[in-house]
Amino acid sequence: MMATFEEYVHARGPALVRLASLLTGDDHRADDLVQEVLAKVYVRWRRICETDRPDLYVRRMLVNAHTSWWRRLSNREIAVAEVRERPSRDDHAQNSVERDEMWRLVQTLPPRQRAVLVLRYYEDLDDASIADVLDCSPVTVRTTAMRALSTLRERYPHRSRERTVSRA
Amino acid sequence: MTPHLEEELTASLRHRAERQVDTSRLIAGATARGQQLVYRRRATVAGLSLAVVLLGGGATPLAVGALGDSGRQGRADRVAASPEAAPAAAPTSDPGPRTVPMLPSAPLPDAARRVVGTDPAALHFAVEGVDTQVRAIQWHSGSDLEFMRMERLDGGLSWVTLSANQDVLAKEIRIRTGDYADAGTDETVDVRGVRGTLRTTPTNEGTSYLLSWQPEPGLYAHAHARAATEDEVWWLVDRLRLGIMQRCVVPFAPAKLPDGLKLTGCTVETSALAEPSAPAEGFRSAEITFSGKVPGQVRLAMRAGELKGSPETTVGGRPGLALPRPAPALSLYDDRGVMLDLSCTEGFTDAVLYEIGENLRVAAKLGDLAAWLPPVP
Repeated sequence: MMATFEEYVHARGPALVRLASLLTGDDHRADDLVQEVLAKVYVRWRRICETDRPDLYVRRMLVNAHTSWWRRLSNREIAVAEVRERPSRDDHAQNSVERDEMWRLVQTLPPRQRAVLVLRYYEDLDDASIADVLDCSPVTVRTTAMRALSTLRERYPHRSRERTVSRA
Repeated sequence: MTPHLEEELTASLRHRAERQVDTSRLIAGATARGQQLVYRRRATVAGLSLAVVLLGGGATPLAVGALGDSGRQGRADRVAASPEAAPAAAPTSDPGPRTVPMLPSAPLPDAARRVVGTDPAALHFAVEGVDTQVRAIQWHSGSDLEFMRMERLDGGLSWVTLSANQDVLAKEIRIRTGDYADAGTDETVDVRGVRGTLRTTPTNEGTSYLLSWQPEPGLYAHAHARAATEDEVWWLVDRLRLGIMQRCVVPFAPAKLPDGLKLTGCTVETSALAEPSAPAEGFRSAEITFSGKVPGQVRLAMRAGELKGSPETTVGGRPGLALPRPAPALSLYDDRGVMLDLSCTEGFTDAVLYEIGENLRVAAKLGDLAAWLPPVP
């Protein structure tokens, strides 16, 4: 039996919003992006339901909408403007600072690379599934992930060294 | 990638993704937008059919004429530009009457122009006629600089930044343009009678145009647009007005400030569009920040939302949650469907948040800037 649009959003809406939050780096933009995509889903719901994997189709719409929005508005400007250093006094605070720094670095990645990391490390999808969402080959996914991770590895190590030193 | 880093990436993403989602609001918003899409498509089809019937073969010349009127011209005369030069054609690509709610403004005495960036409760410039030429505006004043960021009707971003402090402005530009700060080609140009520099940087998201100049002695300005042509930047320059002060008003404000706190920043964002995730039509976001006797800042912001779960506390008659973070944070629910988020950096105690929360006023009409409040009493 075909699920209604409302049932689908009830079941998958929160996950889509969280995915959009990670893609955009901005909760307000994420809400708007998901609304925009779901509005298109609403119009095409019957046809989307007829596909084998409607959720895959919707996630692909979401990633594509984000990529085109990013091209138009370049949210890199917004993301970098929010950078601020936070002091830390204990491990809990240290963890929070590290998460912030990692998140800041993720936001500096191009949208495609960020999407691959989010789908792999947050959505826990394998490369084949990510390739389905991004409409590309698994090889492309692996290459994109490798580039993204390489960038993170170049920019992130100093935090690990700082922590090692402070605990010594 | 080391496993350690991989774990941190996963932890960071999971931490960042934690948020409450209101599915009812999501369904309502998506359904409403979806219905609008359906209606718009039907109207477009009906309109096209009518046009074909009425105009027949005459439609082609009319369309060409319309394109010619709105086409952009190059800026070949920029070296000869003067204060009397006629404004450039408005860069519009999306027709239709739309107006962005604007901050209240008043003429500014000449003597007050040098105070740019020193009064977080005001901006000391305006962009004339911008309310009908963009779909959203963000204003900010504080930390020695003032800026206005605009979402253009074509979907691109433009912004103007002013400061009396050249170093502050340079740092801000570096933050906003990121990797492109030192790239590009510089060209010396005449900006309303003074010398300026136009930096053109091709990027993978379009061409970045950054114009730097001194509109008055001791005052530095940057205008930036990522756009198809540099016309967007010149449009800003032609409409920049320094003789106008815009008051920063917000839909919420403390009636009384805790001892030692002072306003350091005010940011407001309004939109011409009705956005389901915004607190009110025309109002997208607002934030005010304070500094105190200890390093760091206290932040107060408003967002659309509802209280999830049972309230842990009541402050100023509003139920809310005290959020478990390294630094104290309070999230209070106002019965107009908005959450008021109060937070501070480490060094402050939660007492300052409770004191602000006890004395917090919210404007009667969230979407009516005329009913908004000054950020400090």
